[in-house]
Amino acid sequence: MSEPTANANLLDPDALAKGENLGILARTIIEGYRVGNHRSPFRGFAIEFAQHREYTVGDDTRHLDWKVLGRTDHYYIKQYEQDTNLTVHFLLDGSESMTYGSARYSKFHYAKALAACLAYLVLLQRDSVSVNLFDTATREHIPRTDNLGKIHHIMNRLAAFDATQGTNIGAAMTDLAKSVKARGIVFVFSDIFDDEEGFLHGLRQLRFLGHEVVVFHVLDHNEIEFPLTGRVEFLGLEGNPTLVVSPASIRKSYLREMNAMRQRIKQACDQARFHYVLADTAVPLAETLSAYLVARQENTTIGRAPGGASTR
Amino acid sequence: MTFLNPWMLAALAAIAAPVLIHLFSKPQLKRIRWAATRFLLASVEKNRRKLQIEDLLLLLLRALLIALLVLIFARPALLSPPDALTLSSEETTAAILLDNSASMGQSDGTKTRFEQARAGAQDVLAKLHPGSTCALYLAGAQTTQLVSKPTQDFALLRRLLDNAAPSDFSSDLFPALKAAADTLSPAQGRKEIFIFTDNQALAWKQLGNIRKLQEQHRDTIRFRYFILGGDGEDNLAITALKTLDGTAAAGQPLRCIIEVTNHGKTIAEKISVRIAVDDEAPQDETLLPRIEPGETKAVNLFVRIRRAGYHTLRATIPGDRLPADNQRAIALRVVEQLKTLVIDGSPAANPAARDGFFLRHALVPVPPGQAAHYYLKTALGTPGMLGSASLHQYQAIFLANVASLPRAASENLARYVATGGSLIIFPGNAANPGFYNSDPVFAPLLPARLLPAREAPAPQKFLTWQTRDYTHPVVSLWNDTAAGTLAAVRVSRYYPLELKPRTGDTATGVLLKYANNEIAAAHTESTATRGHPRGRVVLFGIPATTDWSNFPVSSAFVPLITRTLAYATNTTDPRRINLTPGQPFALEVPAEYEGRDIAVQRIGATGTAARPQITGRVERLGNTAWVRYKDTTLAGAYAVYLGDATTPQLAFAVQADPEESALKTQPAADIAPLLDMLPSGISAGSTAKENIAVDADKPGTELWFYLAIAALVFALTETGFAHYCSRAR
Repeated sequence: MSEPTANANLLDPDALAKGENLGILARTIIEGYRVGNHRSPFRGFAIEFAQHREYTVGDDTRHLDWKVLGRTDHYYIKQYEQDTNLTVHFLLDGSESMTYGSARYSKFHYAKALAACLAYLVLLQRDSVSVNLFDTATREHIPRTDNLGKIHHIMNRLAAFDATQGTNIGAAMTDLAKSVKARGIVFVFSDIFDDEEGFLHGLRQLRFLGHEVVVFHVLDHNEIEFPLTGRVEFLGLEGNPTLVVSPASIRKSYLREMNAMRQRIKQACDQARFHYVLADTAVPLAETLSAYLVARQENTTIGRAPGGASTR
Repeated sequence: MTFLNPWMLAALAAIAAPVLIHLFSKPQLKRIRWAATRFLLASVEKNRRKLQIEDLLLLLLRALLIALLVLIFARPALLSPPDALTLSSEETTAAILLDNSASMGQSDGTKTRFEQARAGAQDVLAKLHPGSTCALYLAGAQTTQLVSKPTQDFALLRRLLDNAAPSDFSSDLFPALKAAADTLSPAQGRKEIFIFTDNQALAWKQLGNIRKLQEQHRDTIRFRYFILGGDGEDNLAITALKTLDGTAAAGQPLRCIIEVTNHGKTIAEKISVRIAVDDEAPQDETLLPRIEPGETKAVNLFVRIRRAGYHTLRATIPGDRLPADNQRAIALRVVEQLKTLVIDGSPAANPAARDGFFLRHALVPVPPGQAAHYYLKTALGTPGMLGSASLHQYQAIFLANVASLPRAASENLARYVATGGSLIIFPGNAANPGFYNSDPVFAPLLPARLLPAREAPAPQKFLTWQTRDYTHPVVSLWNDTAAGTLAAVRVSRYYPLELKPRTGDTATGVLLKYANNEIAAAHTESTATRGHPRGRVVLFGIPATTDWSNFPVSSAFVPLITRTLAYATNTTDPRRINLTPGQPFALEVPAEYEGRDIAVQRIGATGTAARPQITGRVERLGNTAWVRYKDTTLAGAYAVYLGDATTPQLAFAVQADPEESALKTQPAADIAPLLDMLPSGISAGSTAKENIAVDADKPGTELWFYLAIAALVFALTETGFAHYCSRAR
């Protein structure tokens, strides 16, 4: 594998071409700060009627439905659905384990490209993005912006990050939960090899705060299938020991462990109705992205009801 | 256990090869920076123990495989019991016995059992301790002592062994064992008798005596048996060859009965049986379609012998592994013609009422037109003519109900008998027992006294001849019920016969009995060994008419008269020209042959024996010239040439014991007590030579075959397991 050079242009034209047509719609109700394409939790004064409710003291009388009052002598307030804009938070694992890659890209590069593409799409539809890069703690924070022109800035920041440390994904998710008040979408890009418990805890916190979380479980193809042969010296990353093993002899056991871990993560996502996406670095970025977006659009269109979904 | 190739054990060092391969064949390492170490650690921990066990098992399998291969090449073998066949390292007085019975001629395709025995004996000689002495015997029905006293001249023993020839003797181990034991008894020190035999049941017919002999010498002589060949070999044999008709006459068809027995365990089919006269081409042949195992089938074949004299008949069947019994020969004397004189005791006007009427017709049982060409010529006469007639032109004279004879007739008859003429007497109503019993000239000719005639006892009022157990050659034909029965002859009145004791050169015997065991017919037998033999006299107790019995009108009359005539006229005992193996041939010939060379040819032999070999000269003993020949160990037909003759003047046949063809081995249980020193390594089918070792425990069953199977199993297991392990890695 050859790690690509730290190129600031992380955007994959092919992926973007497909993504532009699909767009990113919030699957849950989110709290935006301006009018946009996404449903708001607030019933307000906008255009689209939603429902009636009985008047109570303190309600603005401007919203009384006079026609109903005239016909029934009962006081009802008209409520309308309010569309708002979307803030998407990118939480990107920049630990050393993400630097492994047997294909053209390392997992980290794949995650960065995936994040950049998604950020571009979000900005393109005039929603906001914020980016957090973490390893043992949050190392890079790009504040919320809805300016498409900032995409290059975001990419430069992502490209400049050097992954050398261990991981503490739980802490990173907790930090995010604490710092973000308004509900939005959180994209998590990680291999989740370490601190699985911390990750699940972070997931529960974000769910509690009403965020929609999309987990991109970024794994190398070798890590998924483990097709290695011969005798191999595995140099452990993030402080793990070096092992000399015949991979064929432990393949079954390894795959059992790996699949069990993936299953646990996916189950946790399904229970929280979050989207779990397995991102195999051997699969072209455009394919991963379009598969995710198609699945997302289908889920969003049908009744616009939030629900767990997963890709692959 | 021992190793036949112990030096091969050095190859055990090759076990190091897989160990070295294991140590030096660590594969090239690939180096990878790996993120998912967490899962590797868990898997490696689980897999480490399994891998260690697999590696260890593989190592073990490979080491075992190499060890097995080495052992296979080293040929391990189980040791025989401690007292197995070992030749002593001390001086031994030994005797070697080779069974040379007919069954030892059986071949396994390359070697006969006798050849195997000879090789084994040579090996014993080679391995006996220097200073040992050894005697050498051939064991059969007759014991041939090639070297009767133990000698140190092993070169002589080896040469004699090389020249030792198989024989067609019947088997019997005891005489040779006894001779060997008697020879070794006086010797001091270690004594051993080595017996090479094919373990035929016949060889152990004196098992009781052999047991006693071994028991007697238990502490002094070791008896060591080498069993050659196995049990139940297939063998097809001619077990009998005999002529049916009484007198063999030149130019007359002669019926021969040939019995073929299948001693094997499989059905024999399409067996061609042939018969030939002397060394001529076969005259008759038939095909036996099928003989079941254990079954004997008889065939009738006809031959016609052109010339009078001594001849042999040879029956043959296709060859098998025991060639000795695929042919069988008999010798017989063929007459040109036979002249007989029938003396009517009471001539009657009516020819049918004459006492000799039935006899005359029985002797020439052909239509009157053919009588001139028939070999039997019959003349009629009266008692009175006996005194003056020249009786020597007749081979036999019948006295039919002759009352008494004038002295001159008696004296003429006595001379006739004394010079080889035969007399057959049927006394009847007219016979005077007083003359028969007391006449000083006539009475001594008779084999029995005539007791007063008596009526058959009530209530049947008739007496029959014996119904079975016919021992005399004349009546033995009727032992076969297919030939009819003599019991059909009913006698209402008869002269009881009282057998006379032997007198001088003349013995007497019973020819036939009544059912009540009284003697019905008796005969004389010349026992003279010198001079011309006396003629035979046969005396019946009834007349050859229907007055006292239905004998003349019974179906047995013609064959019995014919066979009696043949017996009476054949003064050459068939047993003198039909011999058992080893029995010397001796026959008198006219005195003018004295001094002539005797050349003997074994008909059907190969090599030098196929041509007449001069074996001696005609010798004169007393007034008679004799032809003698001793080397009759092999069965078959022999032709004897005297002087410069180009055609044989004499012939004889040697017949092996048909029991030898059965090839039945003695059950192991019967002989086990005798074989307590029989090494277990000597098994059926082995050759004796392979079973002899000196001063070492005798290797028994070899194990390489089992080890090879084990190695194959290990190799397959190793391959499969290695494949499984390598796939898992």
